[in-house]
Amino acid sequence: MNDLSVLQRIHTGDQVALEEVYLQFHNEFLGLILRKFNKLTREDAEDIFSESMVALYENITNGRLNEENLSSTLKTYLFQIGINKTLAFVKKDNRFNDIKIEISKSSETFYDEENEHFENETEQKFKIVETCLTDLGNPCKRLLELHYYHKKRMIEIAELLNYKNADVAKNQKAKCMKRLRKLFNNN
Amino acid sequence: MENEENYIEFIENYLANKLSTDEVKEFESLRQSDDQFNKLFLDVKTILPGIRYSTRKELKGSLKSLGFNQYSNQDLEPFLELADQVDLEEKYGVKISPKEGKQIQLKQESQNNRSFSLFTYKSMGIAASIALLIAAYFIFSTPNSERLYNLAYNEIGQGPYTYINSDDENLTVVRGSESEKVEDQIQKAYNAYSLGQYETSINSFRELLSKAEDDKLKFYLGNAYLANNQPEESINIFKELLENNPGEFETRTKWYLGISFLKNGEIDEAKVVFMDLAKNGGDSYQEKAEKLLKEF
Repeated sequence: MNDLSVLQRIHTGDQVALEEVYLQFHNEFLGLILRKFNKLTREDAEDIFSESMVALYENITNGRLNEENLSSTLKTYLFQIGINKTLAFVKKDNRFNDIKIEISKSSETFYDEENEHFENETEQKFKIVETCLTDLGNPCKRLLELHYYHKKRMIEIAELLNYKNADVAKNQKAKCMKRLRKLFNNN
Repeated sequence: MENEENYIEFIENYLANKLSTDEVKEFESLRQSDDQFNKLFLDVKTILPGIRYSTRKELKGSLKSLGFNQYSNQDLEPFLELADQVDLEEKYGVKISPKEGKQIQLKQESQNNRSFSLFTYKSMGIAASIALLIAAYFIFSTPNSERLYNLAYNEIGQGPYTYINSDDENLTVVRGSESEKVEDQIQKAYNAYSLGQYETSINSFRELLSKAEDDKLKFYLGNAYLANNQPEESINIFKELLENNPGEFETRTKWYLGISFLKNGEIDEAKVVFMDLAKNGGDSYQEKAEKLLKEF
């Protein structure tokens, strides 16, 4: 599977392509960090890798990474994100107080800052939104996710959720937002 | 609120920095004048990243369980080995080193890891060979000379050479009052030896020998050293004695020289001595040597 076609497939929202990449590099990456940071548990490593993959996905959907600017292989790009995530993890975990980490290569930040940590108060509010989304249910939940997270255009959303056209999808979106906001304010 | 959907788009564009300077001014003044708009703004400002937070969490969770369900720990094992070939510093510019003061602990850890992987990763053969070598070392090296020493000294020879009075007829005859003193000294030395006071006897024997050469005294001195766990000294004494052709003391001197070599871990030297004794002894020491050589 060619990197550029994978990139394209992920960009168009092909969830299967994302999972294929995930499974393809899963073992090699976990093996690497479990060996180099031997106090990491499998659970830690799965967390780090899944977060890295999410960061890769977001960089593709928000256009930061595309076919033109992929300078290395997709694997190298993913592993670089993963190593950065691992270092961030290790830094705030006192099990790793006995090792010193020096970073000699200034490595680009490949992932979205939004993926980092929020103030406790902010995270509490996000969790309320999460609950409201669940209460809202599908298709509204799915519609809002496709629009705000997966960055889908209205025409694509219309296709995916079987609306007549982009305008119908847009109307639906407005209704869903109104309901979500109502739920949010009642919480 | 009327036109809520248009307002939401306005807010989205504001949050995404997609508005022109004029539009931003319009946005700010609307927030000041319209409380409902301001409330909508504050809600959307939380709800939009909230939707992303929630969706991201869900995606992460589904990927994580995909990895967990698809691969067992065993599937990961070959990749742990593969990771040894990756230089983190060269490839990612990341250097990991133990912090000061924790170095020893980390070293031990990595050694443990190594022996763990030795065992895990199909080097059981090597481990087994090492175990055999260690066993061989214990069976055939030092403990063997120890075993032969015990056999010769304690079983065949029944401990330190027993002082026998009748040997005294070979004593150099000394006359006069001074001779009585010397006789006393000699007796005291043998008494100490008989009582197992080897250090005292060694000093006495040495003092007597400094005045006059005597094969018997020398023979007992050697035995006192051997009994006192000083085989190097006893070897020297017995060698000296043998150079003097000690006559009737020759075979027993050889016997105890051999035992001294065993005690000192010099099994090959011991063997030479016992073989000579087994061939040329001509008395009870020849039999003892023959018996002992079968155990080599």
